[in-house]
Amino acid sequence: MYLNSVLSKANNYQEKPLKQMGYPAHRAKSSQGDSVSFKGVPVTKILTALENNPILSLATIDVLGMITPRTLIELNRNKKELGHLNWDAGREMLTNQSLASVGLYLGPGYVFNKVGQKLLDSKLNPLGVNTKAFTNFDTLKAIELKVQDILKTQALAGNKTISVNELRKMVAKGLLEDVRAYSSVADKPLKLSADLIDDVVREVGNTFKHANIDKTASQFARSQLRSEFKTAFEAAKGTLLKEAAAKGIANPDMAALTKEAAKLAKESLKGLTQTTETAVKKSLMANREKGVTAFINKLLPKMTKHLKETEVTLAVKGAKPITTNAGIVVRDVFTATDDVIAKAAKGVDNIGIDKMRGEVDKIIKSTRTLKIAKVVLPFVLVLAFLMLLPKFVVWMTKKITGKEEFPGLAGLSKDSKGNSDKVAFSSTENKAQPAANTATQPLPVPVSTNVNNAPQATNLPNKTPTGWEEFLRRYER
Amino acid sequence: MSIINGLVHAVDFSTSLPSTNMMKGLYAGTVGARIGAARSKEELREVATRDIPGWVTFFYGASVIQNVVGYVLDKLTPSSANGVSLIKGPGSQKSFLSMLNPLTKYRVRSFDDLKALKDTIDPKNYKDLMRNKSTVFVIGMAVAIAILGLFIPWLNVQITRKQMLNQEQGKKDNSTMKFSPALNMTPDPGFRPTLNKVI
Repeated sequence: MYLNSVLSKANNYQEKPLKQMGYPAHRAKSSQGDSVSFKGVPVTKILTALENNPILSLATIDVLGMITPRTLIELNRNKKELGHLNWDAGREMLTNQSLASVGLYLGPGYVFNKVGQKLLDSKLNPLGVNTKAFTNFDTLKAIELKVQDILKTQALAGNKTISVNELRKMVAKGLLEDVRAYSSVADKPLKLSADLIDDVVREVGNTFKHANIDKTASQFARSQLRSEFKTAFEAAKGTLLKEAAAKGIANPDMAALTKEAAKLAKESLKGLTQTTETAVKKSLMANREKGVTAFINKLLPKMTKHLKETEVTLAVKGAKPITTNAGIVVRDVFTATDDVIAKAAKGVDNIGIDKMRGEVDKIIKSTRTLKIAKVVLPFVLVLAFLMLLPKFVVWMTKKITGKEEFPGLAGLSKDSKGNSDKVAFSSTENKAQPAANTATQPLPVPVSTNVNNAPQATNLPNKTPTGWEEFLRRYER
Repeated sequence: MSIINGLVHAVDFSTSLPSTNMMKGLYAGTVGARIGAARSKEELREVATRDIPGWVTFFYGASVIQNVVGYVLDKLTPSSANGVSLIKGPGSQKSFLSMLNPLTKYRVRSFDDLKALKDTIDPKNYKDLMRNKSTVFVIGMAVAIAILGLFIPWLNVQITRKQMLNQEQGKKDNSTMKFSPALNMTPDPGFRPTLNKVI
């Protein structure tokens, strides 16, 4: 209850400045009028959504092209011979395909967000890197190079300290100036206009307070816990006075006693402070994400119109050029300013340049290591699950039917009805037996005096001798 | 170290949905496991026929078919002669073969691409492009779905059926010959010397 009230206060606290900054309450709507619709169904919109989300289009192909039709085909397999639907084959196919799809689409994200997050936030993240706002490795390298380059330039200019917010603005500007769009309409690569860059830089400057999530959260938690602290302090003081009276000290040292009581009160509130801080931090972070998303949605149509492209290339000097959606590049600018610089500065307004260079290095290194752990873990775990799945399906069929054989053959072959041994012995030539069986039980090669025919005699095991042949062979000996 | 780095880069993702590269790796692992878990040679053949071309079609089918149909449609649409082409690439030389390669830089423009072009090109050209794009996109998806869901499973069922029926037929034929081993042996040269010797 207490935490809920604190959180609602934190949300209000955060929402007010967001509104003041002019964030729209809802996502910017895409321009209407250029979509094809069929009987009221916006065809172009659906197709665009499918195209822009490769996973969504793969999932569509999966459901419509793999899970449903394959299961139906397997169910109806050899229906005539069996006299009923082939439940075993249908169940095998459905389990195999649908569980593999669930693992494929949702598995990595689940492990990444739940297991990986918990693991990293518990012990392995002493610097408190924002493991949710991970960008990809190439962008991380580009951000590192850009920040270090700017700090180096400042150091060469003779500055000893730098304002953190100014640095954030510089980095945002520097990154956006390196954005190119290779539009097929224009002959030369297009750059972002100064207006658009200014828009983003202004936004970055305005959100400095929200970037310092650690500092803001601890301040807010402390202000909220002031009354609790007072109560705890009074209680501790009373206890200490009573103790002193019991020991027979008439005039206790009040300054020392107050200090002791404050220490005790702080100790007793330690858990609550930490919980409150974590919760407030989480809430502030979610709000910040909301604000950034709203800003990008508002900016993106303008950017696309100016660049005549939706895909842009971020080409920072020395780093590999990254071609991606324009929105992602703007998001990466916020990652650079908030999750790298503001994090490295640890809540101070001005910082020494040399110290900052070391801190940025530490943050980038830590982010990279954590990211490797967080990306590799889902891959390994989900791959293990997916590779065990076919074995599980085989086991399931055996458990249900009692037979360890491929249900697709049911009704077609006598072998599959469990009398394979009889068939093999009664037939003259058991073609049905795989070649491996004859190899494990080699028949004695007949002793032949004719050397020329020896190679032909090795063909024997393929032709199973009848009783007649066996008789001949014995007679020969 | 660089190999590990490359692998990690390949499967890199930062949202709750995996990257396509990661899915390619995971699905390839699944296909391998299915092949490994096959219980008979019929199942092995079916899994290999279904899942190896299935992997290729699942990840590249729709886009390759889209490219090929887009190339043809672009040639057939007269208005695109003066205007912007549906195909996008680094240069002006685009060949039919390059459209078959899923890794090529030549590809059909995306919807977002076309929307960004809206104000700069002729409205008729834009309309044609939009219509062509919608058509090729739907065809690409539909053909990929048909290959994966109808053609490959149908082929599998038919091949297995035919093989098993042939096998049964062969068994019947052989069982009639059981009582005349000499007939059975005459075409086989391997037995002749033994027989000759005995006789």
